[in-house]
Amino acid sequence: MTDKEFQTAISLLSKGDKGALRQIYEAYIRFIYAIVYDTVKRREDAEDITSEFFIKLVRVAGTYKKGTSHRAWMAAIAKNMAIDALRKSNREVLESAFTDDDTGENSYIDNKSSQATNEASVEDKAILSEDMKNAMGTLNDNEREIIDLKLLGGLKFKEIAHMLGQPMGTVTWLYNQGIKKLRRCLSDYERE
Amino acid sequence: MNENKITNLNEYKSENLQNEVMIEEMSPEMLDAYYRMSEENTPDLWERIEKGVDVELSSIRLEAQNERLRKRKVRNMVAAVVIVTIIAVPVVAVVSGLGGSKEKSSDIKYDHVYDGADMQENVKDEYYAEDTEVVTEAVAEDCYDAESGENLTPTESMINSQETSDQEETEEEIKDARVLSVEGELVDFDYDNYTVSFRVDKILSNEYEEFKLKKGTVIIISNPMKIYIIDNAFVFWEIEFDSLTTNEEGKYEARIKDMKVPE
Repeated sequence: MTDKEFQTAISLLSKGDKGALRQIYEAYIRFIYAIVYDTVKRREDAEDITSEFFIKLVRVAGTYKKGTSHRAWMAAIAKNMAIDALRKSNREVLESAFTDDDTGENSYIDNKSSQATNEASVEDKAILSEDMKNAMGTLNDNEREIIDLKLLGGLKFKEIAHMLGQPMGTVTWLYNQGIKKLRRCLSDYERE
Repeated sequence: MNENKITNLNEYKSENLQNEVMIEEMSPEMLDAYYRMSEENTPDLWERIEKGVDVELSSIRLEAQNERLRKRKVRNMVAAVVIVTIIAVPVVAVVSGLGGSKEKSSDIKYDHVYDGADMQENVKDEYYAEDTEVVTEAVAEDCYDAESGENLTPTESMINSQETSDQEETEEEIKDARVLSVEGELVDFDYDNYTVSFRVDKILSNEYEEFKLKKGTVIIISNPMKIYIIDNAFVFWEIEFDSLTTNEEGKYEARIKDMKVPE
């Protein structure tokens, strides 16, 4: 969704147009869910917060400033909501789920993986989703979050750095590290 | 001399990032798998969002409706009020600046206070002038504040009920209220007669079509609750206020009770 398309949609949404919300939902559900999940690390909580995010979007639609990056704006809202929820629940984050452990699986892998395997097997040389999930499981929190923000949200490194409160050099370095790890894990699939 | 030489470390890092750091890229296969994985992991939340949005939208509509009503009420309240900075501020400012006139200034100000106090005294007098048995009944039946749950004295009770009826009256008056708002400067002060003359410099708003006012019009105030103006049609007007309050900006505001051409 381009900034212009988003502006139109958010403008309609501020007037209560549910169709506009549906458009934004279709375009960004994966992005928002990933941001929230990366923070709370629990599927149930991530679902609740993501739902709340889109409901909240109706209320905050009028606060979006034209000309600003809508992805960064939404990412900031979603991230803050996830952090708030985490604080409220006062739940310990399971560090082990996303530690830099090459063998570790994480809760991101769910029972949908077998279905995905069947679909992917149809395509020659395609990387299995399950393998990608395992590979993603080797990343640490920061690497995973930055990759999600970059690939799903299309955010610029500068925007990611601003959002996460980290220097741009660190963000770029973490991103590169993450991609390298994924490559190592999925080297069998990569075309030379 | 190399003008492009970077001396600052942060600047170096920034330059380095823009020009030299290679950004790793995923192969198309990896990207495809990443997006597929992301899609598979994302649950379909539309149904619950839709339900939540319906509730949120009705809540927003209700809030908007309440806000509109509140704004309308405030607008009406504002419309019922006339800014008389021109009247009260100069009086106080000038009078308090003149030696020997402070007392008179105080007299003017105290007139209000005494008016209010006198009213309360009158209420008390009238109340206690009535039969004692009636007073006892009134205490038993009416002198109970529903909000605070406290018993009130007969006077408090009576004043409260009077305030309530005043509020009801105000609500009705507000419907037809219009705005007359002016600013200007003091041109004369006659402290022997407690009279102030004031020249209009700026007409902020005048919704009284029958009352023509222009820049330079002199307003004569002989009583803070009553002013006299000769308008640009040379009609002599007497305007009476029924309230005088200070707004958030510290300016005096008065609500017009009556405006007429005295006989």
